[in-house]
Parts: sequence; structure tokens; C-alpha cells
Amino acid sequence: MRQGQPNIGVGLRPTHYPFLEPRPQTQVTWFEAVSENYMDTKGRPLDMLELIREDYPVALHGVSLSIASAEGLRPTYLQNLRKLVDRIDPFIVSDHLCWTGLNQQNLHDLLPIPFTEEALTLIVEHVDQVQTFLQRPILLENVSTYLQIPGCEYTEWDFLQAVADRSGCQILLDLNNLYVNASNHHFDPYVFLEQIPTHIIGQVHLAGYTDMGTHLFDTHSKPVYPAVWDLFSSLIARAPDLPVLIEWDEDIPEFPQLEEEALKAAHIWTYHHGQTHTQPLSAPIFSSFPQT
Amino acid sequence: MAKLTLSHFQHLFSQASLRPEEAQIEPTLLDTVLPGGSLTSDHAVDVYRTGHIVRLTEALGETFEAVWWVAGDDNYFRLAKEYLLTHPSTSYNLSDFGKTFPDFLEKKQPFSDLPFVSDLARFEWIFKEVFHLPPHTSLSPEDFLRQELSGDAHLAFGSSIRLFHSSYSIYEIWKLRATEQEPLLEEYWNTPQWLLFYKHQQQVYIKHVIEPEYLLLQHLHSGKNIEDALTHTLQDFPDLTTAIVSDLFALIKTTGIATQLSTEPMP
Repeated sequence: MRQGQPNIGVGLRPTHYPFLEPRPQTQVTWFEAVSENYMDTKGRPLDMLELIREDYPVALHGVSLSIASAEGLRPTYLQNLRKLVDRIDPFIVSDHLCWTGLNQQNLHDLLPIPFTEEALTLIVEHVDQVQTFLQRPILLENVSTYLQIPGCEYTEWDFLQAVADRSGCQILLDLNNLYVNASNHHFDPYVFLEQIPTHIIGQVHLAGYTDMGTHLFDTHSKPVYPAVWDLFSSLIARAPDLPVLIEWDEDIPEFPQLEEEALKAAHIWTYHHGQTHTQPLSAPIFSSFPQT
Repeated sequence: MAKLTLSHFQHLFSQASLRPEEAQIEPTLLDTVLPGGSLTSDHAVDVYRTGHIVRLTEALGETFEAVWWVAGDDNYFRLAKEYLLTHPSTSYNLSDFGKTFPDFLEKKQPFSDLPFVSDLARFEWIFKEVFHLPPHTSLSPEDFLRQELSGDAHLAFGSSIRLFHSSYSIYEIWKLRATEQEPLLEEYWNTPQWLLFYKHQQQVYIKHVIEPEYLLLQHLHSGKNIEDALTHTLQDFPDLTTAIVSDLFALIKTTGIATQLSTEPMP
């Protein structure tokens, strides 16, 4: 990744393949691909990923590692992930700090975990297995949750830090998930942010949630909200070299609109770190934020 | 949580996510969660149960787009929900979900006026499989010319080759899936067909063949040499002519589905 410049990427999604296939110049500096979409295919998706990889750094982001599964890790999954990692040579390999179901009942969801010593010990053991198998460190992302499990021995931020400290992995900090959880579980997101040392953060995710009335729901279906941009501004002021990703998975806009969202992140970076970013924005990021 | 181990919690949570809507959530689980926002405990668990249904219904719909179209939204959602609650996903890959959906539809026969629906599902699963298979290097027409097509010759085919037969015009129904076409008239779909799926430069192609060509291809694809394949095809289809055989070999050459020609049996 580039030093002293904003490193803003977007998710590689099939809906954008026709736009990206002729290899246009874009405003993004890297792409993130969902690992599972490329692990079991030898078809067009893999060709597209390799085409993108020729022009950009690529991060592989999984959704099915199930690092907190009490049933253990799936050897087949790890083998197929390693084959993809060897083929693509990503600059980041990440997944989520969660479990996704049982082996015979995979729910394909990012499910909540108790922040207990039992869960911590299991996760650290699993991270060690994964990192040893892949021969590289991984990043784990904080997930949005709609319930908590009582009897926790850690706060979420202490738990993340403990996982990183004990396993040697880093944290993929999703600021949208952080905001969703702060709202759903009634804590101050800035306390969370202040408690996480920046050296354990290896990447940032930004996305949009949906307000369901009773709770905030992590849908990745909207632009990043102003409150989440505020959190980003606070973090990127302290950690300028973090790769930042705009995630958009539902109601995905045309690629230029996605680029526009990435440019907002670049402008906030520029505001803090004083570099000139020439591409103008078509609209303000949020009313209180000075435009460069 | 002090009462529950991680394993016990995960089993209770999985069961709750897979339960039918009307079934009660295990009280032990409800005692173990603190709902977020202004949700109640059962509603908080239901956020995950509903999310699971929506996610798997969408994943199934991506693969079985034409089944969804012919069934209509209400019927498709009802069938998908029944299927996903009784056939939990066991793969890490969501796009693997639905392998047994054609069999489920065949057993269930959900629509008396749409007898082709399980065949349509089978067609869509094959299409998905072929889409993800690697392209192969074809035997060129020059290679064909260089080597003699003797009776003891075996042909090897690309891994993406699939043969499909139905008593109904499945390919034509499938091609209409993204249109606003009204429900199909029986005379439109009630014709048998034999199809060849193959891939060329990452593009999936589907070609109509006639029954004797299909039978001969099936025998060649199973590893029989040309003479044995012809003998077996003649048993099922005594009217096989040299013109049909010649047409089939022309098709094999032009589509590039063969990868090797040898007098030795292929692995």
C-alpha cells in the first residue's frame, strides 16, 4: 500500500464486471474480493479477479471461516482458501470475528459470540491454526450484532485487543458495524475507538446501515452515514496509512457512484494529512465537514 | 452465559434459526440473550432467523431463476422456505446451496399444471455447474484430420460437457425466464428435447441434438470406443444412419468439445 496517500478501495462485485472488464482507469487504489466467490470456481469470476489483480492490489475477505465455531475449522475450507491465496497473492487476507453456523446447519450469517475467556481461548487457537496453515497473518472484522450474550468477561473492544495480542492477528475495523453496535447496545462509539490501539488495526471498512425502527441493521445497501464518516475522520486522523474500503452489497450502484463514495473517504484523509486530492466531489460529505 | 458453554449456545442458536415460524424459541436461549435496540429477546433471535431465510431464498433464487419465474413469487417463497428449513446448508459456499432442490421438486410435484418444474431445476443446476467449470483445450479440426477415426478410437471430452434430456422443452422455457411472458401454454413446452451443454472461452453454450446423436454422445462420453458406442446406440435406435453419425462428428469438431482422440481408453 502507498504511504502518505489515501488508500481507498472498493469491493469487487459481479455487477461491475462489465464496467471493469475493459480495464478503465478508476479512482480507487485497490479492490477487495469475497474469498468464497472465487474459491470454488474456474469460470469467469476467477478470470475477472485475475484481471483486476494485474492492475491493482487485492485483499481477500472471507465470510465463512467461522473462526469462533465450537465445532472447529473446516479443513476443506482452509485448503481451498490457501489455493486462492497462492494464486492471487493478496495484500490482506481477512474474515470475521464470529461463527457462521454448524457444519451440518450452516446459517451463512455473521453470528454473535460471547466475549468470554472460553471463546477467546478457542478463537486464539483457531487463528493460530489458520495463520500457520496460510503462512501469513490474517485480519478479523468486528461484526454487527442484534443481541448480546450476558455474562461477558470482556467489552467488545477489550476482546478484540485480546484476540490480536494473543494471536498476532490484526483487526479489520468496520466503522459501520461499530456504529450499529453502539446504537443497538447503547455505548459511546468514541469510547470504543479510543480504546482500540491503532497498531492492531490493519484495515477499515465503511458501509451504510438500515434503520429498522427497533434497531440498526447492517445491510451495506446505502451510502456511508455522516455519523460513520465522523468516526472515520477521527480514526484516520490518527492512522493515515490504513487501507480503507467502501462496502456496498445490496442495491449496488453503478461503479462511478461507488467511486464517488471512495473519493469522500479520500477527501477526509486529505483534510487531515494535507495532501492535495484533485478529483472534485459532486456533493458535500456532510454539512459540518470542511471541503478541500 | 455462565450457564451455557459456547457449544451449547451455538447449538441452541442454530436450532432457533432453523425452526418454523410458529415454533417457540427454546426458553434457555431466550434467557441467554440481551436484545439490541428496542427489540425483545425473541424478536432479536428472529432477526437472525429471518435473515437466514432471506439469504438462502435469494441464493436459491439466483441459481433457480426460471423455477422462481414459472412458480411465481408466492409459490417460490413457500417452496424455498420449506426446502431450506428441511435441507440445511452444509457447505461453506452459499452458491452450493440447492443441489438437491431438483429432487425435492420431483418428489413434491408442487404444480400439477407445471410437470416440468423439476427438470427445469435440474437444467439450471447444470448451467450453474458448467459456468464454474474450467474451459478446456479443444482437439482442433486439424488434429481430427491427422488421426484416423477408426472403430477402436476413444474420444476424451472437456470437463464442462453435460448432456441433458427432458420430456419437455426446458431450454425454451428457461430462455423466457427474464421476460414478462404470461403463463406458458402446454403446446409450447410439451415437446421432448436432448441438449448438449459445453463451454468455449468461459461462455456456456447449449445446443440441441437429436435423440440418436444424444445416445451416441452419451456412449462416447462414458468412455466407449467408437465401434462400441455405435453398437450400443443401434440397440436403442435401430434407425441410426451414417448421415446422423457424420453430423454428430461434425458437431464434435465444430463445438470443440473433444480434447483427445486415441486408440487407448481414456482415463
